[in-house]
Amino acid sequence: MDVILKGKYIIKCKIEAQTGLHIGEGNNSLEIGGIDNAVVKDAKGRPYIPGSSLKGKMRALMEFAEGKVRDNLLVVSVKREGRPEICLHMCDDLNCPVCGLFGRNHGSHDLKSGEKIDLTDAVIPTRLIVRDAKLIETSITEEMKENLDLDWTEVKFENNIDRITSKAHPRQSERVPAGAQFSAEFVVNRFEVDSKDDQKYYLEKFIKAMKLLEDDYLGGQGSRGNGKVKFVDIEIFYKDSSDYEKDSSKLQPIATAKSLDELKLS
Amino acid sequence: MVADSFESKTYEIEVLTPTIIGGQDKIQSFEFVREGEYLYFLNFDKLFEQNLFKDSFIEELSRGLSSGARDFNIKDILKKYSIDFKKAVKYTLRLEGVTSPYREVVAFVKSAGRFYIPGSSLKGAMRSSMTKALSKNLLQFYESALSNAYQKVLNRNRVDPKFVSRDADEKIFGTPYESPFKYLRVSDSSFVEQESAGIFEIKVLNICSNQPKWFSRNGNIDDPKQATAIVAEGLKPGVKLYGSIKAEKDLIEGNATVKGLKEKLLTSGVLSSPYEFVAQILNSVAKDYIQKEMTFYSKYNQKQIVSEYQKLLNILNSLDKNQFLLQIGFSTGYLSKTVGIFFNKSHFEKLSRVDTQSKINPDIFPKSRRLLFKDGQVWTVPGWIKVTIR
Ligand SMILES: [Zn+2]
Repeated sequence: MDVILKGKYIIKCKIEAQTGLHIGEGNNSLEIGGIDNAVVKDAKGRPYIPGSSLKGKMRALMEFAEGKVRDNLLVVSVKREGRPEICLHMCDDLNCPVCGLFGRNHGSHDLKSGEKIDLTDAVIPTRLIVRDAKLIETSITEEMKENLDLDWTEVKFENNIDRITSKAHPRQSERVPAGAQFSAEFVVNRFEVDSKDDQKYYLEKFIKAMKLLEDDYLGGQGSRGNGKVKFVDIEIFYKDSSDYEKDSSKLQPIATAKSLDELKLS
Repeated sequence: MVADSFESKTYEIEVLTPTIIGGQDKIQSFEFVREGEYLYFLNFDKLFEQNLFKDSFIEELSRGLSSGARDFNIKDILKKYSIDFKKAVKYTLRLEGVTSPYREVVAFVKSAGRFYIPGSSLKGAMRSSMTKALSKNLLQFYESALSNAYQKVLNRNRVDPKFVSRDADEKIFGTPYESPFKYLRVSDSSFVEQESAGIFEIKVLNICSNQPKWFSRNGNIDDPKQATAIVAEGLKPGVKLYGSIKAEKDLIEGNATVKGLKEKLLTSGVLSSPYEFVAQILNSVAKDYIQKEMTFYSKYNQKQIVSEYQKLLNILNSLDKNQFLLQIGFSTGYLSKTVGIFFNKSHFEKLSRVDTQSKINPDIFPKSRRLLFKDGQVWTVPGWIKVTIR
């Protein structure tokens, strides 16, 4: 298989938390003097959105939206007691928008349906790169900061109420308050695979994934209020592979929009 | 079809009776200043910052705050040092007919200082209400869970009242991974202006030897004016809040791993969408609940509350298919939050042994109700909202 890099679409935007956002540390460890259920933070203690969280969520949403959640299309990635616990779509269809955009893993895999699949011949470099999205500090205003429990975050309490005794069992979790913005950057590689040019196919699929995320949630406790996000101040640039050989000049965006509703690709 | 199943809808909450979503906090009397019909909640960082050079003020204030003395009056100190506290105010709320004395205010939940209704509260109230529509054979799991807890107590084993229903919840709805409620998503609401909130007064009606009485620290009394007040921040009737909601088909129909609500709940008629299903269940539960409460209040001669419930019932009867009534939040009582509406005397006998803190009288439980007062008069019941899904 011949794969040529034709160019790169670079999508720059802000991710705005429309409700509180909880992206957990994952290990649930309790730091000393820290709170239960903390959010992931950078070395300077500022919350951020890991690129892996964004990419994982968008992939999962696209698997559903593209009709790829079927036992013969799902690969078992984690097993528990010999039974599939976490599955993820991977296939050898070179035109598959999910695998094409989000990538495949080398080698042989167990399908949920029980068969095996070998993807060695289908593996091409992943088109989508998702960078960590950094907190835009000024998006958390002074007025908001005065009312926060911690430097950039608040502690939300949730009561589980016993349905027989009515006694409450409160649980706490940390979250970034609504209104916070993060600066995000995504790269969608444009390839030519066996003389077939991607054109804007994967860029369009990526924008679809952004729209799906806006109608879903990011991070924890999403079904109970958290994690509604919106992409704003979107700019899309295109860098042809020949541009990398020239002297660098300022790139002009090929599309800009305040929000996804307004975004039009020419 | 595909677009349909991914799109979320908008919910609108209209507050019908004052609604209090209690945060964890109580605001102490030194944290606010009353002037006229308003409470000014102080920002201590600002107060210190603006008066850094008034050493004795800072000293006196710090001493007062740390001692927590009952006679410590912030207003006097501010006056003594002629400090304009209005320059150091977080927010201001109007007293909505509060006439009784109080020392603390129950705080409404806020995000970075802004009033809103958490998705978890709305979803929790919806789930709690839907649980009351369970078919008889499933409700029995709660009866067995109560009996098991009671047996444990008899055998001198420890029972945590916070986790009595947990086994039953799991038997009925499955583990969180198998629960149909994962297909119901409710976002936090938008924020509302502080004018949408106010300070409300609540008193406790207690039935003692078949007579309505009012709770006071000196015992139950006849005169509601002398009763002890609970004062809380709440949202005013008429206020509207918005958020997004998604009820997927699997919530009702289920799938390979999750059993849907359809086979668990008592329903009637054919329903065209998950939203209509949810609205119909919630309204039938609300209707049943309101009618039972009306019987209770009629029996104890609370005409004002009966007429308030009649108004709610009229609204309920005129709702569209995409609308429902729900009771939510603080002070809504035992029956609103539990499946206790199905319990009888023998259940409450067991419950009184399982939950010893709550002083349960099996002959009449719950024997108290929290009611809103306005200008010294019984006014209404807390927490009723109307939800419209579009
Ligand atoms: Zn694929």
